Amino acid sequence: MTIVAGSRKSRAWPIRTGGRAPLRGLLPLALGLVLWQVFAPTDSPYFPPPSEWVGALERLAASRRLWPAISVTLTSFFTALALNIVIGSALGILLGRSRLLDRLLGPTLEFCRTIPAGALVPVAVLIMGYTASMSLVVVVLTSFWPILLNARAGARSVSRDRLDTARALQLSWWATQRKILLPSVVPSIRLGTQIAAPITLIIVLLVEILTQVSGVGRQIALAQSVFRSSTVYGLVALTGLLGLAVNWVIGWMGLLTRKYDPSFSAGVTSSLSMKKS
Amino acid sequence: MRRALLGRINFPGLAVIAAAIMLWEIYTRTAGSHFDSLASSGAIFAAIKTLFLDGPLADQLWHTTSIALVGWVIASALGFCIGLAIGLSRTAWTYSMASLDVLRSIPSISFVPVAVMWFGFSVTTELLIVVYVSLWPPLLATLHSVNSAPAGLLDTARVFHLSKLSTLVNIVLPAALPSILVSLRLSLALSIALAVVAEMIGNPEGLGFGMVFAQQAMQPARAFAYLVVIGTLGWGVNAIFLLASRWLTRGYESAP
Amino acid sequence: MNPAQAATDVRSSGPPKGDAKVDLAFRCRGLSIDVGDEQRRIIAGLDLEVPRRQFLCVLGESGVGKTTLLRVFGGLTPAAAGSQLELNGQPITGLPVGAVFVFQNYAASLLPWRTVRRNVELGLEATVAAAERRTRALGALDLVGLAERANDHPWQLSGGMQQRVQIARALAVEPNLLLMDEPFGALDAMTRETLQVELRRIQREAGATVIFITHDVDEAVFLADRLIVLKGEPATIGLDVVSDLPVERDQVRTKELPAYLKLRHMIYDVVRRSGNP
Repeated sequence: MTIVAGSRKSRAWPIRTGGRAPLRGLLPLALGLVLWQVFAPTDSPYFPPPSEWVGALERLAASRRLWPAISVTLTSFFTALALNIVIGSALGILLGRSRLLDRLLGPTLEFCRTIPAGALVPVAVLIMGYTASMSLVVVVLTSFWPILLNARAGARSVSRDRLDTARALQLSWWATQRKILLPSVVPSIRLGTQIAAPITLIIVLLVEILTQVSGVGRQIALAQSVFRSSTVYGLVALTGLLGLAVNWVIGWMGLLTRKYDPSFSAGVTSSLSMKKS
Repeated sequence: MRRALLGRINFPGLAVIAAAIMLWEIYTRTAGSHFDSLASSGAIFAAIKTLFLDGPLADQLWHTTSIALVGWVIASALGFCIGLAIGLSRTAWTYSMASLDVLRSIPSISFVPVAVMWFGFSVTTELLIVVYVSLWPPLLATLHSVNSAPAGLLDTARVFHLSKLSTLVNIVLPAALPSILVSLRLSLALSIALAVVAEMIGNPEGLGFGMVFAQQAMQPARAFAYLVVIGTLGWGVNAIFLLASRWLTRGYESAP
Repeated sequence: MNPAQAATDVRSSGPPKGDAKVDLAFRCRGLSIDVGDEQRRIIAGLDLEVPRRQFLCVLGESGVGKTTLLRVFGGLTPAAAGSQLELNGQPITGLPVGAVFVFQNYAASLLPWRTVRRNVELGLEATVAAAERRTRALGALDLVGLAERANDHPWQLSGGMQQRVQIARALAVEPNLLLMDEPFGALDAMTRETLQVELRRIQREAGATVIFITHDVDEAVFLADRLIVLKGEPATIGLDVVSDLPVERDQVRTKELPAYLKLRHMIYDVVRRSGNP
């Protein structure tokens, strides 16, 4: 007879990759950078070592071109994102609540949604010229879709009970929107925003690279056209930092809307009932 | 069967599109006629016809579509294999996931100038850009879904003593298919979008180049024409892929 | 199973002692099970012997540990140190070959992308050639009465039919032991009653040994050749009685028999004895 020892080993399937990736995972990247640093000659035209990138960025900053560019890019980004949230939510909720509108506008919106941002730029330039508003229009029209789609889904799935409650309490139309509908849709809008934010940043940079008017994108395109490779790499790394910073800010702002989450209130209720037994 | 198909076509919605086209025609010929940067619907269609029959549109369409598709196939295969390798091996995941996260958070568009710098104005540049950007969605989707197989199905695999390989092939991958297909559809759209962008910056061929050329030559009808063609290409490819993936997952229940 | 083998004592144990020739499909000694981070002991020192072809029902309140017990029998969950488990006279280490588990959630354990027949073939693919696999699968489907749905997909079948497919899948591998975890719990009352009659027929025709878990007393009394009630924290066997109901059972007439009512009384007495849920 064999004793079956107790063991904590869980399911057979290879791994459950949950949670944060361990920092050890940075090893390949770090190793790559170190090797690049060690083996690349300082004056290599195509592959200057990372130390050169920092120097290039410092020179850019010294000539007063770096920070204004970052400022322009970030301003465009946050302006566009704010517009995305407002327009995306409004349209999304409208489409979610009105089956008729949804059906009527559906195919048109489906088509517009798949138009790539790059393709809009030349036409927008023709109509509006190389201006900040042109850039804003292109960015908003191509990056507000995740918010629209999520708001639409959220508005569609507001429970009948909640809306009936509003009617039973004889709330005005505006009060219903403000007190019942909007809070119910907030979690969906937040999700849409988190998806849309990186896309918005990408398209802001795309427009800047294509039109070369201002911003970090313009600096990258400029540096590339004169083969300043260390500047290019440095700026690419910089956009990475911008991306991380943006995600962090959006995530943090999202936490402020936690009280609208259904799971949040469910957690509160269940912890209350657990106190009884 | 035909009635079911007809019932699914959204006629009112299509009517709205037709109405929009007509309204645009009216607007550009009346109130908007002094804007010489606009083109009427009729002018746009005429431009498409001219460009197609007498001009480079057919070649450009072929160029963009083929590069996008080739790049997409390469990116999908690469993304799937890498995602599978990392998803199936705890060691691989531990020692690479953080690097992938960092790389992924660099806006993909920033690599376009880098590619131009390396390979100049060429097809290689275009292909490289398409592949790099399009490989992320399938990579991440494969990685994630290979480890999200439903517990009930994994228990079933254990009950019937399926080997690890058999579990992967018969249970985990089929369960992951819907999610992977969604990522492939997304990366297909990205492939087309990035091919167009690459043509605007890094490779003077294809639809992107055609569009920039028309814009710089101040020919709105042609620029709009390219816009319509590119939009239709993206929409059409998306619709075809959607049909194909619906057919592939026809046995599945719809997700809860 | 001899229907004349009546229980004279409320707490008699299963097969008569000293009958060393009884062919045991399954046996455990001193089985203990710990769960959770705190390793709470939910089953303590369980001894059980299950003869071949016996239909054993295990009853107990929700949470007492029935499902965990069954999962331990099936090797899906490890037992605590010191436990001894044997299948067909062979000690069990890990997942025993020859025991098959049937889950309550049939939708979660059938493969939605495969036809019914290919689902039933799942357990045979590693060991049996294609032609014979097909024959055995169709045979199992015939046994559960679903032969003509062999080429449909699971989602095209009703809940009761899907559960029958799961049973067919289990039978196709010709197991020594069938472990069933409240398989009819998710079905409506009428389907349940039909399937209970079907299951008894299938079990007799296939000659299978079954350990069946349920919290439904009527279901257990109707189905069982022998009944066990789990009770207490940690749980032990509160009642072990062989059923004296006739082999042929009917949802109406059997439930009018005095023997049926007597069994129900026995069980409720044990369940009500110390503490209520």
